[in-house]
Amino acid sequence: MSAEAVAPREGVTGPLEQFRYDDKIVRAFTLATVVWGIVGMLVGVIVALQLAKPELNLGISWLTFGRLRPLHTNAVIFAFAGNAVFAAVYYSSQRLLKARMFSDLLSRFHFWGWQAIIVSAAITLPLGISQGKEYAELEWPIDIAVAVVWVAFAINFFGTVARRRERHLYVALWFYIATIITIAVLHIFNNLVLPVSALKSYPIYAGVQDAFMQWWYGHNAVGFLLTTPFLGLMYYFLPKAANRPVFSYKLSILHFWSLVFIYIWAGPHHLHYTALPAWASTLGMLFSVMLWMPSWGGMLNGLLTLRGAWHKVAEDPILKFFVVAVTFYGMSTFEGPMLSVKSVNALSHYTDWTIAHVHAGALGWVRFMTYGMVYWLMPRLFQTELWSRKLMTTHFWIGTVGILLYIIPIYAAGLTQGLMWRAFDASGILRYTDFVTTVNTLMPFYWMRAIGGTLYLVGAAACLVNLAMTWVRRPASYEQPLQQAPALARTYADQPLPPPRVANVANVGKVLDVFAQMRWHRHWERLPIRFSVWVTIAVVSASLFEIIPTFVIKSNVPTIATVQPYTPLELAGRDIYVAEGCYNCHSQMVRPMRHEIERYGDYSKAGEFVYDRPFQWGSRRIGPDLHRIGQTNTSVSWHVRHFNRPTDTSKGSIMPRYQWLLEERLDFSAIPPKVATMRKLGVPYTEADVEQAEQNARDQAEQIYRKLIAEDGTYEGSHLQDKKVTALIAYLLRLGTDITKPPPEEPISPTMEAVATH
Amino acid sequence: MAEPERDRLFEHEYDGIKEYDNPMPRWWVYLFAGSILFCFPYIIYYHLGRGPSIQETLDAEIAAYAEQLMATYGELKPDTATIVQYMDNEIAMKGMESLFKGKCAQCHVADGSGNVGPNLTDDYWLNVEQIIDIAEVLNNGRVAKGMPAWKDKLTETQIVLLSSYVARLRREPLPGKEPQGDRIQPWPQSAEPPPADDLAAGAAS
Repeated sequence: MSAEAVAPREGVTGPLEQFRYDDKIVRAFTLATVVWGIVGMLVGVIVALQLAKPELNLGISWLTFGRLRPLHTNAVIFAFAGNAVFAAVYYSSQRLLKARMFSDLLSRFHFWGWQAIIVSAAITLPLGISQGKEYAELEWPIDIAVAVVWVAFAINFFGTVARRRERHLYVALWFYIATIITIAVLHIFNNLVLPVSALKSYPIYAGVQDAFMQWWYGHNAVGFLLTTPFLGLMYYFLPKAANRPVFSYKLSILHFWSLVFIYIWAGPHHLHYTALPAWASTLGMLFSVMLWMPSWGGMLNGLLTLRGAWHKVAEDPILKFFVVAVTFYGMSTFEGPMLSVKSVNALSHYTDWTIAHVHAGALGWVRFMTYGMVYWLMPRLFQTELWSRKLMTTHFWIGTVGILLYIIPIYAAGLTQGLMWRAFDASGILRYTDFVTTVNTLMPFYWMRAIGGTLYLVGAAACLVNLAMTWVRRPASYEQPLQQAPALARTYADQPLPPPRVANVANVGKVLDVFAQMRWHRHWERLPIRFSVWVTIAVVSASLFEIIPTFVIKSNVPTIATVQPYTPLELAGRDIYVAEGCYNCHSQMVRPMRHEIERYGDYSKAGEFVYDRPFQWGSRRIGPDLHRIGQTNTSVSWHVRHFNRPTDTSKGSIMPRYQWLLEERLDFSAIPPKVATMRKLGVPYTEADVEQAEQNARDQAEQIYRKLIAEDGTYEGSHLQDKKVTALIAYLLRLGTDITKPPPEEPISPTMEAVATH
Repeated sequence: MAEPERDRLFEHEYDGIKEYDNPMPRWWVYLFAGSILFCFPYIIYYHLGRGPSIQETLDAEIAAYAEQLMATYGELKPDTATIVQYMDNEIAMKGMESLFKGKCAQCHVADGSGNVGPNLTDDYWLNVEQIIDIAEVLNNGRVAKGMPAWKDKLTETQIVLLSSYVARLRREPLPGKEPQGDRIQPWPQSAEPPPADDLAAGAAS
């Protein structure tokens, strides 16, 4: 190595201090990572099997796809990836800062608080207690707990930074800082709700704006919980495992700042061709394209750090995990910008292509990065040799095959279904008008995916076995080696900036050259408050550039005079729709494309959603779009039969039975508080509407029941008027119908107009 | 592997991790700059210039289909002769089979044998006596009974062709939903054979 020092040792040092690292907390988070990783993936395999064979919910409501899919996503994102991030942060930050964590008490509170949140999620989500927004399903009391624990984590982290004995912050810590700040901002602002009861709330945003906030959150949760902390993790554990210097410090700086700033803008690419205004959609696409290279900066720094160490990769399964992970990161971050291009998205959106994309990232990047870290940590945390290197190698190979068996069929499924949806025959009629044909074509792919997922799960179980057996062989008591490092001196003189490398140019050219050399960044790295403030500015300003116009410009949501608030019964039905997780399989957003209009009806307009709290546009069509169901299927008896046994009315349907909706009574007394809460949020209900809500709901239920009997006399005596199914049907019959109604005779009141344009 | 000359290490290190002072790869910088520059022509073309909006693209798509439909069938009117005539137009009926599966099969089942809605393959009909009545039921629905009105959702030509398709289902009676309504007369036979060759040519073009 022809290493040449380019900077002399800095500054005067303070007195020598002694301290010990807290590895107990890292052991706890590592164990939690591996255990929740298995739980989250097991739920994933169960829901994957239910797509191939819906009866596998065993007829039990809380084992049904719509309720378990949120549990799967929340478990892998917050339980598995979350704990992995915390393990990485607690292990590496202490060492990078040469300081024990700020407070052991906060560390314990963080750990147990987070596990309690996970357990409460695992209980509430299957019970159908849900906010109905993807990856933000947890209801408001749990959301508050998440915020409290996250703040405790932030205090603990920044407290450690304040007590550091290392002057400058290493790049891994930059990424941790970005994670901690941004996740707090995202979580709080997407979860602003008004509670109806202890376990039910309505968001303060409605329709288009709620959709915008949700995907600002949803996209950046991927960015700042599954990307930035894992890049931080990579910057610490990959060079450690390879024992190689990081390829380029300059690249770290540029890709960090560009990633943090650009990521935030890209959220609207989840809403192409929806009722979101076109300018927002364009920003989402363009910033996604710009995000390609900032993401690849991380991949390059990871892969090029292994230059000269490829022979080690051949021998070391840990490095193999890292190489595959970083490679998947590179593939996913190319695919992401590609999918955000509108014309590509027109084909991919609502299909399994998105699911394949997510799993390439989640199984490839997030999980393999984590497993590499966990195996690297095991001997160090348990202070003994890894129990079985062979099993670790086996895990790597099973996992890699598992990923491929998962994603390849699902890519094929996505492409197949996307093309079938838009296929017209020679006479210009949709070739596959009945949605279910396009679903049944995917069955072989769904089986293959389930096998791939199961293989991957077996690998994850092998990791737990290895961890348990290594733990068994731990020493009687762990050594806690004494560390020593000098405290930071009070004063510090930065290195002078290097002179410009260009002569004979205008002054501005010289200034730019000094800037481009990026030595100025070194100064920032020793000022964590300023650094964090700049991260906050980058994230918040990028957010506000999109959020403010979305909320302020009236023309974003043109008013439709005939769109009226839901009736009390419809509102109750809508809440059942949310609780059952219908949005996990059904969209409510007909895109402005001829094949969608032919299949579902007129495309959806922004003004139709002004009373939708939460919005229910969905992101995947495992079943057909439902926004125009009220126009295209007006039969009550059809809906009743369909909920009771979907295959009775739709041959080949993979929707599970919802027979409990025909059995469970609707709690009419719970309806008035719902209406009252909506009224507080600005929905133009009168006080009388709130008072009469219960009676009004009973009357409408009776009406629907009479229509049911008129359609099919065999339902006489079924008493379905006080069952949940009637409320849900009331909602479905109403969906997407207001736009075709004649305009109201009286001019609408100013308050209503204000709400409608809100 | 020998180190390239350009790898210069910084002296700083963090828990043993060192960093190189390597420049960013050129292609990375160019692609990044390119992705930023791409925004300007895109916005200028699609948002400030002549680039088609989503609505305009859709309108063009719908207009093209209307033209295709027109070129294939002309403007069809719901009368007995036309409905009877198209019952034997295979291309039109294939298209309608797809439409029927998508819009009607949820209540009448893909083969027309009925389920929530009546069996359309037998001789017993609820709202239909003459073949022309089919078009009327399609247009206005029987909303109280759960049958939606299709007037505003399908074109008149499609209503005529779909009526032909529904009428044709009677040719193959199937066991399914029990007979409902009254037994009706067979449909009239078409007076003159349809110009099938012209139509096939039109549909293929």
